Amino acid sequence: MKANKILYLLFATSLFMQSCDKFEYNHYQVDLSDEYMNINQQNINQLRNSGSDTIKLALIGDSQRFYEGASKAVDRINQIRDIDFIIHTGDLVDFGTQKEYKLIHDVLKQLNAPYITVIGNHDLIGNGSKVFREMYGPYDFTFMFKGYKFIYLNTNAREFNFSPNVPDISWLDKQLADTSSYKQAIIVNHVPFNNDDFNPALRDDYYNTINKYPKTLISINGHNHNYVFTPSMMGSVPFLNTSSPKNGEFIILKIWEDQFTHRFVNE
Amino acid sequence: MRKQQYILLILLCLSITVRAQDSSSSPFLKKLIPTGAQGQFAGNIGMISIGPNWNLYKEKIHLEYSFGVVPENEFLKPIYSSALKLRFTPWKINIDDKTHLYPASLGIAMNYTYGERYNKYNNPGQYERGYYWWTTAMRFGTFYQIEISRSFDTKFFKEAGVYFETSIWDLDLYNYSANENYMELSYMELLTLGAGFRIYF
Repeated sequence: MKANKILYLLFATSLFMQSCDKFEYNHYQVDLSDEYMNINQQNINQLRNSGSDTIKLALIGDSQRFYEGASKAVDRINQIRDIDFIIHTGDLVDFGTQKEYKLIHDVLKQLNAPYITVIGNHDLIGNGSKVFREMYGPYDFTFMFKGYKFIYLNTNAREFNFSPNVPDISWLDKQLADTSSYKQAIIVNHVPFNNDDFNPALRDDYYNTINKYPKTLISINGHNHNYVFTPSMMGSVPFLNTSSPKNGEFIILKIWEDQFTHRFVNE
Repeated sequence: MRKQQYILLILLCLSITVRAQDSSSSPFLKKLIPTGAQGQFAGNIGMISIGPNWNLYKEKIHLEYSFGVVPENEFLKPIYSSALKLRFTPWKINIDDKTHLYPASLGIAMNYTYGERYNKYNNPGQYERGYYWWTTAMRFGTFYQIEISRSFDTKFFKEAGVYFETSIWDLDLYNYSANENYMELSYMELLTLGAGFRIYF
């Protein structure tokens, strides 16, 4: 009987020794605590004007399951001085689970400067759409920094079964229309307009809208996992595709007046 | 509507379970009668899951069905799922004449989460097959259990035990495999815990 009791005791303590959040209910469960909520807006509120006229940004994207690589990119970005903020071009996670969202945020919150994320197609899988809304906020949003307008746009049309509202062209047009309110506009989205996952019915609309107004500086996207720069052709808006940080890759983008330079960092 | 059907199904399973006691039907039907039942907390098959199990081979191999529920919260409506587990229990140690220890049960598990948003392939116009290589509604896992049980002299069941479970699931393993050298993603991120009770008829 005594051995019996000891065994029961061991069994019970082994249960309590384990941390409680390892008792997972379902891969698609959502039960976020406050520390994981509204990150985009909180990070926008943290933006500080350094006084310099130049904006210096680091761009990453498609972090998905590459926590190790993303962590390497974070360490490298933290060594660079005067980074104003970091743009993540979407696909934070691979399978849209809350567990992955928390893991990647735990990596990205180590960044010295705030990071602001657009939604990617993988982020929307399962209850990922719900997790993103709670953790990061709206899919389409804008913010101003040093007079520049950053427009984040959901272009993951396939996930919305090619709905005529994804991407929301009329919203985009409205954001760009008042050109007197901003110096230059920077558009951030996940799926590039020439990709199969972009809404084919809205491809031309997107291209024409961003080129309609004279102060659109650049369109930044991810999804392809490889760094590609498509320069301006006869005054059209140039495109910059971020790399996945599999081995710690990222891009440094400097913006001043109506100009920019960029550098791909892979070593 | 669908939810109610699943709940009815589980009630049906339980009613068969109860009937097992006074069964005198054919040998084939007898095989369908559950030889036990289990209830579990967590373990990625629902916050609470219950269902019958069947002894397939000499009380060493069991098949378990569990219907699981994650209750509604501020973020989500309830999640319903069904799990099948194949459990191999090689050892039974008698601690005394009424207390038993099953030191290691190993098995494989599948969990299917109901709901359109978890099933990516019901609209072929939206996704080509294989666009996402994994199955979004079905999860596969392996598990280890340790169980301690006690014999009872009742009409309804002859033995009842409690168990503790550690499981590893496909997506977590895949995530982990891309980060073998990343210390922050410890093996604990890989593991999922669960605990439950089991009765033997």
